[in-house]
Amino acid sequence: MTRKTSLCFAVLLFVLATLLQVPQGRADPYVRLGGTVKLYTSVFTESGEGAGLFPHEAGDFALTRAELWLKLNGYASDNVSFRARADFIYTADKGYDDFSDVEAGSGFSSEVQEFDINFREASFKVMDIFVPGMDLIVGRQRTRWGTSDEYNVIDNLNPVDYANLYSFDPDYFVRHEPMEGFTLEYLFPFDFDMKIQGVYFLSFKPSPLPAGFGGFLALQQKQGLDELTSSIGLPPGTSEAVLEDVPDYELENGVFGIRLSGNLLNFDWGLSYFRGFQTLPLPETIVTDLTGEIPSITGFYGYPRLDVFGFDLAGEIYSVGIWAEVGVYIPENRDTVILVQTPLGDMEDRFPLLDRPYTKFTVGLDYTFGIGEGLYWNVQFNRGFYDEFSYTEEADEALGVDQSGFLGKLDDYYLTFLEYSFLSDTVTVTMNFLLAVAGYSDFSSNNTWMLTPEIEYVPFDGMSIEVAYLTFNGAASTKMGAFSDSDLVYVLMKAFF
Amino acid sequence: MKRKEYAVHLIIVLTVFLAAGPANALTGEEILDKVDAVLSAPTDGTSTARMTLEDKNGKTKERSLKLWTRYFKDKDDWSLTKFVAPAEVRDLGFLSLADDKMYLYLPAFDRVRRIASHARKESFAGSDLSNDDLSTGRYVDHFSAEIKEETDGEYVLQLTRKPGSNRIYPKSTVWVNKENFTIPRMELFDKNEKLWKTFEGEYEQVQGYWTMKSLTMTDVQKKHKTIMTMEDIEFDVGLDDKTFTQRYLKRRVKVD
Repeated sequence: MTRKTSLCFAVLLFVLATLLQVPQGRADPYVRLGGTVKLYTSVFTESGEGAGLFPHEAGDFALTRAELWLKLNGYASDNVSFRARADFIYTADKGYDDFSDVEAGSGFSSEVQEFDINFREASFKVMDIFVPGMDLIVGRQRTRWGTSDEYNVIDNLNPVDYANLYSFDPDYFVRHEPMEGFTLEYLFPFDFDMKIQGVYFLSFKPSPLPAGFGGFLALQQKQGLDELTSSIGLPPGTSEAVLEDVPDYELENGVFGIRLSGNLLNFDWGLSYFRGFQTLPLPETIVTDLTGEIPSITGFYGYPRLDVFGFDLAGEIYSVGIWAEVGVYIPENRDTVILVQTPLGDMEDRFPLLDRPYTKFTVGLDYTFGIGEGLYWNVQFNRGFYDEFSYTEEADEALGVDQSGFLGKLDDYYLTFLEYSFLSDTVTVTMNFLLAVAGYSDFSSNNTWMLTPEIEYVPFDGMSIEVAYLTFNGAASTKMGAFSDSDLVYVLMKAFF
Repeated sequence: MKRKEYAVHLIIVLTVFLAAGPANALTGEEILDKVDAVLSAPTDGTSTARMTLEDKNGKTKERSLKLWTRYFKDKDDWSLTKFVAPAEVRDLGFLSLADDKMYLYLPAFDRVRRIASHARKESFAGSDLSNDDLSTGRYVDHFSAEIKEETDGEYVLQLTRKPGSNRIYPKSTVWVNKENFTIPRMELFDKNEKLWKTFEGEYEQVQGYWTMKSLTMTDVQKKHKTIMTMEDIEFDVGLDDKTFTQRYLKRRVKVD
């Protein structure tokens, strides 16, 4: 099915669904169509290399997207509800460099820019399915775990979308991808605060990665190869990153999770266990070939198994909201292999890539000060971001992986924001601050801070306008510091229906 | 996530009149106790509400809600509130249980979040009602009351917040109807004892209970007011305790 056919099909489905809309009845079907129309556009306010990934001039558009989210939900009967969402995304960030960029396809459309349909969700829920209090959710879904605000270290069931992480569109920030499968929940009859939840997603799903990510890995490999070849008088070599060890789409590669949650002494708690896979590719074998005329390095990447035991807590002390989460990560017990082939013979080194186990955690609090309509303050500390790992000393020695940056080591993140709404919530002003610390010994070269003043204006019901300025400052070696020459302003406009 | 969304805490102030005997020589505390008693007279109730926000220039915004309430005589009531309109807040839900246990459902993230009681200070959905105005809990547990004035038809009480209470108004003046112990009028003062808001309520009998059918809350400092009207009120419908759980908080609302 071509993209255009898919689009027509999707539109037809939603039109039909709208026509099916019927008045509410106790057991009658009920269908509702809603959604959002959105424009996001961001502009760089300074020129820079953007960590070598996004060279730009001040005034360049960073990203422009027009989106339509169609959301369909309703009830097939009192006990059976359903929901679906399709996003239609038009991205206008492509340059016009040659004729191929301005030539439309062979169909009826004159469009030469990127267009995409993303089927975000399609699931139905059956309440009281086997016994009272037991619910089953079937289909493409997102299951979120954790009680922390904004960032959940135990939220591993659905892979994170890294392709959009640096879009700075708030709708895409650490967004998790839906997966296909089943969620079974049971509310205990003796305590309605206590619930057990089992999740089974049919098979492994990797995290979406930014365009050119394979090339980025190859470039990193090549830097290591070039150091080696120059030191022994060999010419520069070639580099390739190969995705090899990907779990097959089969029953045994399903993702599984179970969580027990309840309330004790007015604190919500949860105990969880996740069994799945790493959703970012990790190096499994790196082969350096020095036997030919031109040296080469090939990295083979895969997605090893991962188990995570989690604990989360949320409540309040003297009206101050508090939360905490800890995830004990147990990576698969396997070695990464470094193989160097030389005319004199092969050399092999084996070592575990990741510590086993290691821990990520987050703690935070929030409070509303009685100033005007309420000044809201939120502060949080995170140890380790989604894309970060705890590498072994041997791995760092061999690969130099114990650095900050994407796929880097566990860093510390201090986040805080103040928010104030006025004119009856017509205007909301927010000041966000993030301090990322890669190391405390040489602090000035190991930290980055990010400041984001933001204003949202809601002139009428059913729409919003948001403007924000993002400024990054710090060591370029850190993850966010790589954007220190990439300050930008974005405008996000939405209409809801 | 927007903090304005925290402003979702609603309990129906549905006042019920039970045959109150002669009210002579009642103390302020006793009058307040009778107000509390009629507030929690039904077993449970459901209703819809329409909220109109009006600024000083006469510009208005509308909100529609559905409400489920479970009343208790010896502890805080339970309430479940779901937004029906406008579209950007549709299906947003708020669950309030005893002991300041509150949860917010954010449909955009399909997520339930625990809310601490500091959110009482925040405006309810951009209205002139704070979460505290609409919160559950007995007046006598939070305020001491003195009779300030007495007319033929009303008691005028001076309420003072008790030490340790987390209610946001340190002082208020409350008019109590002598016949049905409803509250037709209140004046609410800020921490500087300056008049902050005025409240006016209108009542009708529903299923034998005196019930507030509409209220007007005016923020005199901002010159902004909120009018809330209740419809489709039903009492003693036999709501299951399971209605007041996160499971139901996440359910989508049917709209007629």
